[in-house]
Amino acid sequence: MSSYPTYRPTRPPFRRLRVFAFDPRLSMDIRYALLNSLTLSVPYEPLVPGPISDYLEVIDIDPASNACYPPVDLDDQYVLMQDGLAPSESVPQFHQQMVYAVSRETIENFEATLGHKIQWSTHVTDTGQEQFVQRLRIYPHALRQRNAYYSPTKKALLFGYFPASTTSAGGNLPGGTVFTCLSKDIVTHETTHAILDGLHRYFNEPSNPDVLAFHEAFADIIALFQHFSHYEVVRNQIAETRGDLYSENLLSEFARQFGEATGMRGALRSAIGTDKLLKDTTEPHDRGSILVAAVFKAFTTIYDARSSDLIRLATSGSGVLQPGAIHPDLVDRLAREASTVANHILRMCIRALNYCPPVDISFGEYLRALVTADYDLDQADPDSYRLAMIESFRERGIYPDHVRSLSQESLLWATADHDPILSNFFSNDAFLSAVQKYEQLQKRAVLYRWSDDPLSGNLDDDRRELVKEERDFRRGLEQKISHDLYNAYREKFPDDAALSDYLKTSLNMKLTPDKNMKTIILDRKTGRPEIKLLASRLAYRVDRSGWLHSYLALELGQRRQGFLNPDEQKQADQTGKRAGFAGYDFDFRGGATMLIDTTDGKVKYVITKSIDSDRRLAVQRAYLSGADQAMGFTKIGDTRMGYLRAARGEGGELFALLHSDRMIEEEF
Amino acid sequence: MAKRFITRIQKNPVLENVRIRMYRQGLGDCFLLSFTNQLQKTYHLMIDCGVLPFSGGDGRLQTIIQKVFAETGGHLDAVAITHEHADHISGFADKYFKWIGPDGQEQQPTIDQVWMAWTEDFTDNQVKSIIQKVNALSFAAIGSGLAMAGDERAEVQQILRFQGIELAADGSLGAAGQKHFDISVSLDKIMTSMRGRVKKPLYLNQQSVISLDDFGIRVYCLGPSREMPMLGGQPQTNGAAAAPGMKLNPVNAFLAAAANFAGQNLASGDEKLPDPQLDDLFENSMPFSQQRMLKVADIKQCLQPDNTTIFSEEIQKTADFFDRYYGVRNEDTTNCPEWRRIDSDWLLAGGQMALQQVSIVNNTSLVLAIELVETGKVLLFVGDAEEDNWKMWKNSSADVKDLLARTVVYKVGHHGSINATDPDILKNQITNPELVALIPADVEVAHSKKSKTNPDGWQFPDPSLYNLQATVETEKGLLYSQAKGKIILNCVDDCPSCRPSYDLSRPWPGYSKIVEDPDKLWVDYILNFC
Repeated sequence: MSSYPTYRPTRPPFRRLRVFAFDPRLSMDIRYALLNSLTLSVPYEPLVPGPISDYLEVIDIDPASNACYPPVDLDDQYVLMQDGLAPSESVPQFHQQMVYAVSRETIENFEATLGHKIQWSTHVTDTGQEQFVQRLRIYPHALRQRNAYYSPTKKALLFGYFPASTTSAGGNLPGGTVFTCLSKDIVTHETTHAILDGLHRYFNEPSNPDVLAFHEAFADIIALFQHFSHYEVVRNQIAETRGDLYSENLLSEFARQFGEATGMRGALRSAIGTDKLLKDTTEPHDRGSILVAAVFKAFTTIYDARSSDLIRLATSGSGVLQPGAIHPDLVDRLAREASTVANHILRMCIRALNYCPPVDISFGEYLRALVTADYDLDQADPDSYRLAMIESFRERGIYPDHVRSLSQESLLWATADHDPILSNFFSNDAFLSAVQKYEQLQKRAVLYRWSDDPLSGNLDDDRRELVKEERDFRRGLEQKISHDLYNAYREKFPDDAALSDYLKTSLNMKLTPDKNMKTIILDRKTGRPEIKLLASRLAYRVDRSGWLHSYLALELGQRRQGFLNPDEQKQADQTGKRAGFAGYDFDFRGGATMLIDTTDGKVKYVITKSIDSDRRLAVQRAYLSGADQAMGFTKIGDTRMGYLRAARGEGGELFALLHSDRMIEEEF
Repeated sequence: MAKRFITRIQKNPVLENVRIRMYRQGLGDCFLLSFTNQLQKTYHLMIDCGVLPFSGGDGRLQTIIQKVFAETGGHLDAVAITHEHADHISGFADKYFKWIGPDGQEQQPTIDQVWMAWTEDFTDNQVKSIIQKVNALSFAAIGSGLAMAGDERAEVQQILRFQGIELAADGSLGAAGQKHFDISVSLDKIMTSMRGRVKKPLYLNQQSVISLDDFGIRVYCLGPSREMPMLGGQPQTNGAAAAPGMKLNPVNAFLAAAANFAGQNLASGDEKLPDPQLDDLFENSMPFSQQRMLKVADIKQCLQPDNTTIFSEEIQKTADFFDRYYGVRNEDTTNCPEWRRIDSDWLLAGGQMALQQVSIVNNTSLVLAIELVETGKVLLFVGDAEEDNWKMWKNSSADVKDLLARTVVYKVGHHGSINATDPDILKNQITNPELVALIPADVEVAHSKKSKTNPDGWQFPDPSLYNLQATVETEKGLLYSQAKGKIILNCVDDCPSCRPSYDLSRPWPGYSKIVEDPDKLWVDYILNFC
């Protein structure tokens, strides 16, 4: 019996889809028209019309216009043959293709850097049950408004459209429709919000002035540095700016069309457009732009350092470029440098996410996360990435608390070495084999797309499976920590006070009830302070010598009832109740992130936010009070108010408020 | 010229005293300024007369209006109207603003002058475009308010109330031909009626100075500025009137959709947007050409089991898609639970539009600096001017910085809310040690405005200006420290939040006196120069 040889092509690694490199406005400019049509290679995955994939579902309904738009079929042979539909403002199916492609590219950037699958934040039901959300929903035409936002409750991106300004439309058609979903930056920005929410669900609770600002800034940073992943664009801009990326250019701008259409001239937020110091402002976008500016400055510093030799070579040592265009070879080399540096910075910023405290992030702590994560990757720092980062944060007045100097050593997170109970707690076979099992599953999930096994049209991949497994894994760990770790400590410190003192310098969590802090939420079963395992992520990194390291990031959380009135807080701390009526004003959260080396189970770092910190509580109270005490209706646009309402169970869209701009300064 | 003026005054000092009467009608502004000269002639200037509708002060305001006319004999030398918001003008409505004389007969009060900001002059082209803008915003807000439900609707309603607009309570939508909202007190009518009480109102601008030589007073208009971006920026003194019809802009595009969604004809007072105009606008505001868009209604029909219309296969497929993933036919399909739907999310923008509209109207506030020429003291009345208005104060005949430095009475903007007093200007320019602040903020009424969204009520005044709860002197806010505690509130009676509504132990100027009405209907701050 012999069979005829057959040839079955293997599954392609990528699907090529065309998008606008920036936004449609640039296609009207003869200098950039060609450049603006960009073909993205997004990881191949089976799709059904929508497109609907493993991670994303594009549902194009437009309630304001009473309309819906037929879903695009990206597997249609004509579509496949030409790398997707051609960029066009007037074809809604292209809009669907673009939001899918850009969103998918962003997801890929995170997964490739973190080494684990990203998950959307869970849906919490009315009864408090957490439910797996497989797909982020994208509504490309959801709003008739100059706004686009990520809705944490709907697990959806909502994009708006609006007529361009009739008086100062920039390069837009006055009165023509501007679509936020056609701005690559805006799509990346919103997707990043959703990814960040999936990683750190409490980073959208405004517990200090930095938290929401961080969400905004981080989303901008990702959007900005993704510009550099498209070589042709970088090359063009290097040529145009003669290699000076600190000058005004397309790469350092955010959402140009959106900015012009709103009559704000130029880009929405230019990364380098601010000289402000952090202490000068409390507004989330202003604070955020300071963080973006700091990261961008670090980028240009390193780029300049790495390209100075090229400039010297090209100028016979003078370092001064001749007027006019620079040599195409030099453009090429500079573009390569810029891409390399930008890619490193992008990954640095993403990798730091696993090194952040679980709640209540501040910019200073993000700097420490950046430094520590990069240090773990490569202790030597031959290109001075860390130094440049520290320097430019310092220039903007971003300082971490509780460090004695801004040297790299003092910025590294504290290790858990001096607490042997904690640092050795996970060094046992049972834990290591549980991790191994989890690791296997995750690797399979990460790598499935390279296998040749067709998914037979079933979109429910093993991400759901992974979540189930992860839930069991987490439950086991949670048990272990709240019982075994507690017992281990107890054995050594039978006395409550001594135990508390000891913990202060390491885990910094409350393990025993405190009669002076009855507002700390207790576990009903144990009667001790509740410890929730908020997240567990197994991440990989390859160091400079090519070794693969894996580490487990565990995020533990504790809760305490917060009151806007300090007297009520005092009373409730003592009695456990608020006088008069029930309820409390806000959740005060604490916890710790532990980074565990999976080769030996040693706890390497522990990054803490203590639940008994009255200083932090006071900061959060002051920050939220600012909104609550003012007259209601003047504060509808205040995100803090939105948060408080949401905390009181009254709904409210946090990011909707954060993103919407004022409509009044034009159109007469 | 100034020199001549001063010489004359020295010969014959004019102004004997000034009595600033702040009424306690509830949440709103109502002031009577009485300037008495040495001949014992008195000049009565009324600044605003209103109360927030449904804030429980209506009846009280009627009593107060009668007290005003009893005091002035049914005559006012001038009435200044700062801006067109209910809490400043509702008392001027014809049904309230009449005098029941000593003989029990109703009669019309006599008014010599009505002062308004240039923003109320309908013949001005810039004003025409402001009105278009404000109307579009409020229609958009109304449209979305009608389409919303529950708390969101209540929130929009709360803002609209400043415009005197009440959404109908029944909430039933879509019944043809039936209006579901009504402007309970048409602010527009009130303004028209006030204009009619004099031959021609004085429309004041940043060139205006009113000299009352018999009383030694000069009144400077400091705002609103024509250059304010919110009011249309550059002056449009010549050129054609704004084009008729409705331009396609973000607000109008939203408005058209909101009106379509609510299925309503939008009307305000006598103005009404004709249906064809709205329909045109809705058509023009579509993001794509007709053939690219499928009507949701068609999809729904296509999915009806008893549907007889024949749809193409493509439409059928699209219908199935939106049924499966959005539950377009049946709102509680398992494929799209309620929490993922976005049917009314776009309407949330309506609340912000209502806010923007309130903000624009606040910024049309007439700002008056009343200079008492002999003593150099200045009384500052700002209406509800917000920071944008403050930042552009000027008067061609005066040095604003100098006027502010001499300000001894400041009527606090917008009941003491956060954005109606510019902190920089207050801190660095309104620095006179004799400064007294008058806050028409009925703290108890404000606190009683509890709702689900505002569980503690409205916190008037804003703590950053004047923190009533603070016990430490340094934490009592910027206004408190600038005025050294010399603050008078218009709280109605024995208000537990602010008791006392003024603090006699503060360093009040030697020429001043505070007198309260035995019936608690007002509090007088008197400057006596004899």
